Amino acid sequence: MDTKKPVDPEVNRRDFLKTGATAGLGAGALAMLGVEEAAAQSAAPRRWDVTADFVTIGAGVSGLAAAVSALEHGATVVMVDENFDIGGHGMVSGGIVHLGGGTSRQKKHGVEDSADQVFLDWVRHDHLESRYSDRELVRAFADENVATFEFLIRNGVQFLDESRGPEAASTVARQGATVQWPIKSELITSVPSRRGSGLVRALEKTARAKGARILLRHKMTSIVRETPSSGRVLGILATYEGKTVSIRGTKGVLVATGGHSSNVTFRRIFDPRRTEEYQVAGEPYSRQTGDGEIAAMAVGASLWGTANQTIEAGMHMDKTAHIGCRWGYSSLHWQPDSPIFDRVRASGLTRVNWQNAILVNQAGKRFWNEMDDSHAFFAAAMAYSGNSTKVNGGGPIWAVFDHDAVVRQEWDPRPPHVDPEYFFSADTVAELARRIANPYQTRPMPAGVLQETVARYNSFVDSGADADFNKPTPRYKIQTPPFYAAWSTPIIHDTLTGLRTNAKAQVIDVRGEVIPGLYCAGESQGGFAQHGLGRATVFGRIAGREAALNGART
Amino acid sequence: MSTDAPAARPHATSVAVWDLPSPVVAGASFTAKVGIACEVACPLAGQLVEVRDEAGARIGQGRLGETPWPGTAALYVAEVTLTAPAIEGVRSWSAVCRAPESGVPHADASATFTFRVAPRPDHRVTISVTDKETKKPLEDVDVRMGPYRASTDAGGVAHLAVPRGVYALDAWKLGYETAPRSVEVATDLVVAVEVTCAPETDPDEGRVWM
Repeated sequence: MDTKKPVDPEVNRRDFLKTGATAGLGAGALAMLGVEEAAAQSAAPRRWDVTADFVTIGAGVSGLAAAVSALEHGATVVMVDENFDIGGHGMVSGGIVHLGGGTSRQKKHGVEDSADQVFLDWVRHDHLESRYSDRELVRAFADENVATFEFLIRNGVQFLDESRGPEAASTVARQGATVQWPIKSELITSVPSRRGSGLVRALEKTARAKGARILLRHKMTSIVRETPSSGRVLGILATYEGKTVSIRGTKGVLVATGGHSSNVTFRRIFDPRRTEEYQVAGEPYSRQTGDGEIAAMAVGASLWGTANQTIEAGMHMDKTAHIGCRWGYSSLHWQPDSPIFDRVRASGLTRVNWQNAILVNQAGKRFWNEMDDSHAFFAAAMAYSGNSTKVNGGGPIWAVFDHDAVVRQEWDPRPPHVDPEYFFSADTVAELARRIANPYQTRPMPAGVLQETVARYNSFVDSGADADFNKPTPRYKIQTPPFYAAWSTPIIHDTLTGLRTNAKAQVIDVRGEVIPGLYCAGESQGGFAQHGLGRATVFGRIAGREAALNGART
Repeated sequence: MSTDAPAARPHATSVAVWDLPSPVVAGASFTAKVGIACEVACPLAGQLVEVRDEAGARIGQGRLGETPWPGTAALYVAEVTLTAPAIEGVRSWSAVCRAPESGVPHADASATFTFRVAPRPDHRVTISVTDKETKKPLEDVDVRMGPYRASTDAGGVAHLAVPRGVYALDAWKLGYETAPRSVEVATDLVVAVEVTCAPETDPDEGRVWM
C-alpha cells in the first residue's frame, strides 16, 4: 500500500472520467455477468486510487489469513469486502477448524498424527469427501497443517481446550473449535456456538495492527489483467457508493470471495435442481455470490474438481432446524438481538421433532419420511412435483402441523418467531392450503390435495404404519385446529468447487498455465472438498506468503 | 364480512374433524367435533353438519354452535355423537357441510377422517413410567400397546384397556427413548417401564459448520 502518498479517490475518479481509461466506462457491449467490461480492456487504469503489494478480494477467513501471512512476510496489504463488516460466512460459522498433522493441541490431548497421515486420509478412495480431491493440493494442505495451526495461535486465535473427531475422511481427531469473540457489540449473532467470530475478529485485529487497510462496502467488479487472456493481473476495480475505485496489487491479487452457493445461475452449473427457492447457510449476513470465480474466469481462469460439488456427502445440504422463517440453518439460530435481525425477520420455531409435523411439497403432497436426513431426503425434496411451470427444483417445502403439535413443542407461533411471508395458519387444512402465499410458491397449493394428504397421514397414525414412506410409528394426527404451514425448504451449504490453483494457491487458466499475480483460497478454490475452516486458513496463508515473497516475479 | 366475497361464486367452506378417540371399541358410542369455516369468515352458527360412512349413509348429525372455536378465526363447531361399527379395522368416514338453502350462497364441503375400531377389552393394564436415571415418574409419555394408546398422568401412570393377547409395548416422549418390549396380557397387569433421557440436540450446540 502506498502509505506515503495517499491518493485522493475523488481526484483519481475525475482523472478516470477525463481520460476514459477507467474500465467502468464504455458500458454496453460487454456487460455479460457485470464483470466482463474491465476484464476485456487491455489497458490498465492510468492511475490507481489505491496501491498495495497484496490485495485480497474478500475479508473473510481465507482473506484474513492471507492478509496476516502477507504482512508477516513484509508486504503491504489492502482488503476489500462488499459487506459492512469483515468476516464473511466465517463470522457466523461454528468455528470448526480441521487442522492436524501433529499440532500442539493434538499433542496436548495425546493424539498422534503426521502430515503424511493427513495426506493419506484426504486422498482416500473409500470416502466421498476425499475421493475426488486434487492430490497435489492435499499434499500441500497436509504439509502446511501444523504451521497454519500455530500461525493462528500466534496471531491471536484461541481454541477450546478439547479434542474433536475424527470426522469426515480423517482417521484421527483433528478438528478444533475456536473460542467465540468475547465482545458482544462486535458479534453479528450472540448465539454461543458462533465461534467463527473468534477466528475472524482475532485475525482482523492482528491484520489492522500490522497495517492492513480494510475497505468495507467496496464491491469488486472486475479483475484487471494486462490483456483479457494474457499477462499479469494488475489489480481490481471496485465500486464504493456508486463510484469506481481502482486498486493495484503489485505482488498479487487474491480471490477470497467465499464461494458461489448464493448465485443461483452459477450453482446450477453443477446441479440444475438447485433453483432459487433454496436458502444458503450463513445468509443473510454474507452471500456467496460467485463474484470472484466469475471475475477470474473473465481473465481466463479455470474451474477445477467440480465432481466435489455433487458428492452428496458431508455438509452439502441440510434440513431446516428452525421453521417458519427464511433462514433456518441448524446451528445458526438467529435471535432478535442480532444487529441484522431486520434482514433476518424471524428466528423460527426451533427444535422441531418431525413426529409433530409432516412435510409437503408445493403441490401439497408428502414426498419422503420426515424423520430421515439422508441425501435421499434432499433428492426427494428437489424432485419434480408435477408443476409444469417449474420443472427444475422441488419448490418450497412446508411443515404442516396442528395446535396440539404447537402445545407439545411449546412453540409461540407469532413474530418474531415466525415470518408472515414464510408462515401461515388457518382454521382448516383446506383453508391453510389457500392461505400459503410466498414468492417461491409459484402456483397455489391445491386445497383438496393437502386435505387428502393429511387425512391419509392420519390414517397411518390409526394403523400404526406409514404405508407411503415408512416413517417410524407415526404418532400424532394432524387434526386439531388451528393448522399451520411453516417454511421448511432445505438449505444449501458448502461451496465445494471453484477455481483451479496449484499448490502455491496461484490460479491456473483454462490452458493449464499460471495466471501471474492471481491467487485463490477458501470456498472459491476448487479441488478439495473438506468442510470447515481448515482449507481456507491453509491456502489463505500460503497465498499471502507466496505473493509477498515471490509475487513480483510470478 | 360476507360482502367482501366475490359475488359471482358461492363462498368456499372447509371442514375439520377432531377430538375423536382411536381406537374405538366396536359398537361403542363416541363423539367427534366437526368444525366448518367459510373462506371469508361468515358466521355459520346453526348450520347442519352430517357424518357419513364409507357407503355415504348418514350416521350422525349436529348443528354448529354460536361462537367460533377458541384460537380460530371463524371455525364453528358441532359435537356429533356416533356409533362405531362392529367390524374391526381402520375406518374412513366423512363429515359434510351442506350449503344453507337461504342467505349468502356457500359451497358444499366435506372432509374424510379415520379412526380405528378395536375389539372390546378384557383386561386393564396399568403402566408406570419412570426416568431410568432419576427414578422419578414421567408425565405425558405416549404409551402404546398395539393400537391401544394413552398418555401418562402426573404420577407417570397410564391405563389401557385391551383384549387378551400379546402386544408390543412402546413408551415414547420427546427427549427420551426406550426399546419396545413384548407384553402378554392374560389378566389385569401392572407394568413398570423405565425410559432413558436422550435430550433433543440443541441446534445451536449440535452440528456446527465451517
